[in-house]
Amino acid sequence: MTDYHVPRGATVKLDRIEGELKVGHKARIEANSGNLVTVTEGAYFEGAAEVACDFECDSLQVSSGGVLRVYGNLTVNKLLDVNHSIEVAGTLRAGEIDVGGKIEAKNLSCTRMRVGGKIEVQQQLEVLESLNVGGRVDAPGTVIIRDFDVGGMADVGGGKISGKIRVGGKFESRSKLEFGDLQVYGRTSLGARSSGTRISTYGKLAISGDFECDEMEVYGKTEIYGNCSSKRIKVNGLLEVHGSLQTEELFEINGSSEIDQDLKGTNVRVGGKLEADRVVVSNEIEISGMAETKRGLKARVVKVGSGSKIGGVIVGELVDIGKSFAAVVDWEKKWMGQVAAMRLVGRMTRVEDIYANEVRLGKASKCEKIFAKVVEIEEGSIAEEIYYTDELRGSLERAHVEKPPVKVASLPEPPI
Amino acid sequence: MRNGGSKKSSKRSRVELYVTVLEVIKRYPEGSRITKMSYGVGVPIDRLKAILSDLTSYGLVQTFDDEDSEGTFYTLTPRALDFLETYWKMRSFLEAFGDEKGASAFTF
Repeated sequence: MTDYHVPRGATVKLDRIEGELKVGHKARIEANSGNLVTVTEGAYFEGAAEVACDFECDSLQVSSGGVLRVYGNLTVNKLLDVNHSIEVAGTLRAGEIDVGGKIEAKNLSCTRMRVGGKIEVQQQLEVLESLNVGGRVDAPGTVIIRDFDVGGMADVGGGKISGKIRVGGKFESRSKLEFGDLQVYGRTSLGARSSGTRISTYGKLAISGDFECDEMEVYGKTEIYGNCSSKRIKVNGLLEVHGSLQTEELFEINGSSEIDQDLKGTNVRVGGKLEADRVVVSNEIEISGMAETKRGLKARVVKVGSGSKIGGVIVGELVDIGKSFAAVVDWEKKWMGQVAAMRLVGRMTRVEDIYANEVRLGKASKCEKIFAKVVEIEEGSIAEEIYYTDELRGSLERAHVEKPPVKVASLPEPPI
Repeated sequence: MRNGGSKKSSKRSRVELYVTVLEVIKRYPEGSRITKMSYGVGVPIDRLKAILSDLTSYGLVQTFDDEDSEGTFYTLTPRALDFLETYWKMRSFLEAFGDEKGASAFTF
């Protein structure tokens, strides 16, 4: 059969069209034998129509309003262009898809897809290149997508979105998601064991279990109900980890971070507030704000800015307490860092016990016990007790030490 | 099915409607036709025309006529892209501060 025209409102039985198929408004197509109608060239639908079988064509266009309903599988080798909406009961496979309103399918796979309104895919959604949606994506099954841009909301079951992900409103992945560069302005929710390259959130981010990421930027509020591991983390809002947190390169806090268990890292900068059960940093921690630990804080170098407050024991090779803001806060020129610094002006620096090779207790700094090889105290500083093995130097007469400093042969083991 | 855009139980505010229209137009950098756009936004064409007129007067949308296809096409201005980014950021800040009502209801 060559080019064929189905009149408006008619029901026809077809097999294979060698050419084009034109279908009038509210027409119905059925399969003559078997369950498949094949069109070797383009299929053009005026508007709303029904296809009561599997349908395969080279390209498909629905030119005016109304819904095209396909009760079987639909395969379009090239472009599927629908002005209004399409519903496919089975699997929809296409090259490119361009739909103005809404697209629904049980399974969907294509190279590129652009939808003005909404996508609903019950099982698997696979887009090899880009998925671009103005309104909403509901895909409770697995997704495999490269680039993902949604204006409104996206709710996916889990899977992999390997490229850039940008969601304006809300993004939810109900189970594990592997992601590339995820940027969500609104509320984000990810399943346990999700992992990715980069995540940047401005609103609320909730992760229901363990989480791994190369780079995290938190501007709003992030809650992780498991352990978190990330090479770089920058917090300008609130980060809560109900587990442990591990960073490989830099962890920068200008807002507030609360970690139920251990924080382990290489370099940590605190310009706001840090709470953890225990902090273990292999290189340097700089604090210009507040840090509170239950079991202590350990780093090779510990720098505590003037006006800061540290709760819990401090252990390090070099511990510098009461350093000026200029030295401590110069890593954060942005307003959050400046605000953090301004909050502390004129306040006394307060820490608890210190275990170190070398301790410098700066002006207007107060500590409890110091156990160190070398201790240097500046005028106006206050220490309860000092135990040292090698040297005690500084303005002893202008500092206040509650008990006379004691030179000892050996120092006790640090508690962490 | 009439409403191809996001389904909401409560009525969309004017700003939410503007944002929906802009997000739909954003999908069509080559220009969007009003009919297709109306299916994406989920509003009738006469109402969409009024919204587009507002958005054009705010400098967020621009139109051009294509003689070959005999139609008017709508595209976003750079100002619209700035507006969308600001809107989503502001909305998320308000949500993060716990002001859910403010996040969904701030109006011009």
